[in-house]
Amino acid sequence: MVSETYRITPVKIAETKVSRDKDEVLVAYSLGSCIGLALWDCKQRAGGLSHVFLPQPRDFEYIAASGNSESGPGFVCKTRHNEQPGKYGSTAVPHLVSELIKIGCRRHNLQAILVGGANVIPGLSSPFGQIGQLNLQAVKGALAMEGIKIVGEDTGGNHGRSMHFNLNSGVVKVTSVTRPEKELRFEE
Amino acid sequence: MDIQFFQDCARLGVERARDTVSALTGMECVIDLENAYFTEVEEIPLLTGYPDEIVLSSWVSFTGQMEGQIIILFRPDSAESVVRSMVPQFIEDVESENELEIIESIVSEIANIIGCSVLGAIADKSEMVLRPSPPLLIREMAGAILETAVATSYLYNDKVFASDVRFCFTESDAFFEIVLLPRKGTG
Repeated sequence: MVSETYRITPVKIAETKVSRDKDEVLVAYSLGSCIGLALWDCKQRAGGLSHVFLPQPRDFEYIAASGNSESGPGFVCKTRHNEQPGKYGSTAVPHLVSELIKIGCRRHNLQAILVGGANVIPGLSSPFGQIGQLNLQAVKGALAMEGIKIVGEDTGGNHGRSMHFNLNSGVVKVTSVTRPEKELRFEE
Repeated sequence: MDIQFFQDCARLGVERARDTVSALTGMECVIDLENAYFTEVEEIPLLTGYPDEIVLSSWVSFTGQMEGQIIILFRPDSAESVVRSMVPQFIEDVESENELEIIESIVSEIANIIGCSVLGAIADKSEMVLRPSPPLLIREMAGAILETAVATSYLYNDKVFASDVRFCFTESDAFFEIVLLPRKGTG
């Protein structure tokens, strides 16, 4: 899927990147408990990727319920100074939607694919539960509030994953150390 | 805990580990602490320089008057080089399908010695009681291990201490990282 004609753009922890460049592949490397959240607009063949690190900010609170306008997210979550919205599941989803709308995507065309949310250290858990599962719940909850359908996921388990999101084909390739390569496809 | 304290403990810990490994094998071993630093948690998975590469990692959690996690990360090729240097005849004699298991077992033991030595140094210098968990050996992408450990730690603390260590045994060199994730409000 990834040939020399494609430009690889890494998306680091807490980052969000969007693009409508058909020669670009967005990549989130070595996802453990983190979630790679890919959104795609099949009509525009444009999309974006957030590398979600944690479920929500420590001073998280919903200010309002989600709206369905094209102007941006309908709810606000506080992040600390200098923190990127892509860091948290609760803030990454509305931020990514907002960034995609800025480059011409339509909210009602957006679909989601999720990768990651594993627990690669057996037995490691916070008092609130396993971080991977908490991340997954936060992202899925925020997607539900935005009314965005999840069309594919490779999540959970105890193995790390890398994901390559081809913006032209709408294909997400998932690689890992212990599992065969997997392809997830957005709906046309 | 501050960076100077961590650096002192890491140095004392690797010196003790060097003495233990040398005594166990009867061969001279050099372990140098190249640097120690403090960083924001989200930067840690990238600081190893090889987030997508597979590493052998020994993970230990500890409780007591300070709580947290300590992770020793070895690159597999680096680990293999050290093990072959330590026990060349032994490695040559084992069946190839058992080779990885043997290497991982020996690396696990080395990592365990290093991790416990560093924890022992922290306990001694701070006069605290620390209770380590049994070590867990994980073969995974470096970034996946670190981000999972760091994400859990982040719920308690923004601080991460890390140090690069050079492990030299006869003619082989290996490099590994010690990552310490203390829990907030302890230590």
